[in-house]
Amino acid sequence: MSTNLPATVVIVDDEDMVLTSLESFLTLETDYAVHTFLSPTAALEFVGANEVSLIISDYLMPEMDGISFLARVREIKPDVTRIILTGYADKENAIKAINEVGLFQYVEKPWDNDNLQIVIRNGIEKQQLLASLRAKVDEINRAYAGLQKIQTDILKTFS
Amino acid sequence: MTERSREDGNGNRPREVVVVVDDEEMVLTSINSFLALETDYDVVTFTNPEHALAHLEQHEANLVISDYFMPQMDGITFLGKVRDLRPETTRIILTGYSDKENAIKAINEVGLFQYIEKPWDNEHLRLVLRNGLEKQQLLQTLQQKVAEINRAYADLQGIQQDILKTFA
Repeated sequence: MSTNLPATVVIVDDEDMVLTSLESFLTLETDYAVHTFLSPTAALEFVGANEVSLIISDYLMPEMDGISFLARVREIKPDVTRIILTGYADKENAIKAINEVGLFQYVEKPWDNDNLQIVIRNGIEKQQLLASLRAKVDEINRAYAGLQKIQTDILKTFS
Repeated sequence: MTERSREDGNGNRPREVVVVVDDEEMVLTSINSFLALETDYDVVTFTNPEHALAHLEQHEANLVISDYFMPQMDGITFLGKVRDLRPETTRIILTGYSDKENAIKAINEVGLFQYIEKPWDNEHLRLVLRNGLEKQQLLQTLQQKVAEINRAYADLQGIQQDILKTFA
């Protein structure tokens, strides 16, 4: 597992200014590899083809709303942490979607950079914990398979 | 101090324990009633951080929320002591607007999960608690798996040595 690589963060918003603002803040303050998309469809293609730790999506977008987009992300890559950016008017709907689509957190616009940074850090940490856990479970299964094979070999030798 | 029983008698896993510390009784009552209504967490509250520490010496907790400004001990010092006592516990600070900068500085210093501004939004608080508890559970499961792997490797080595002994 390559945990030494910087975590990849994908941001989707139909407003270029939001993307620029988030990208420059994260580039300045963190070592995450940030990829931004105006189009949720283009973002889905990227997520399908790349390792991503965390996705932040706007709620209201012309092509596809943020909840539908994040639900598609969950289908493609269930372990990716999903966060929704929401205006005050959409807050209630965003909260409803939290359990429905399995969102990590909602962040209200206008966001506070310090808070956003902590939410992203925690979200990435969660994704990395899940990935380590899966790796350990695989390792355990391999170790037990190894034990069983030895047992079978021994039985064969002495039968 | 209020404490509800951790065992439900049906063999289900114990409820997650959340400790809340604030010198204002009203804050404790408000958080306690919200969590009692909306979650199945086992909530334990303290107005004095020293009493909370004494409790944590004897009892496990999954998550601790503390106020920033308290007369006996500030929230950062308190949560630093919680880390010494129970490093695996998720720590969250409740902060007024004027202490926000100091709370943020302490996040890396004392290893805090998140800060929550007063007045808090209950939905937001609920999500932060859920995520903080989930993190603690993931860490705990990971530790268990690592221990399991170490045992499996020890077993393998034991078998190898037995085989070597048999054929030596």
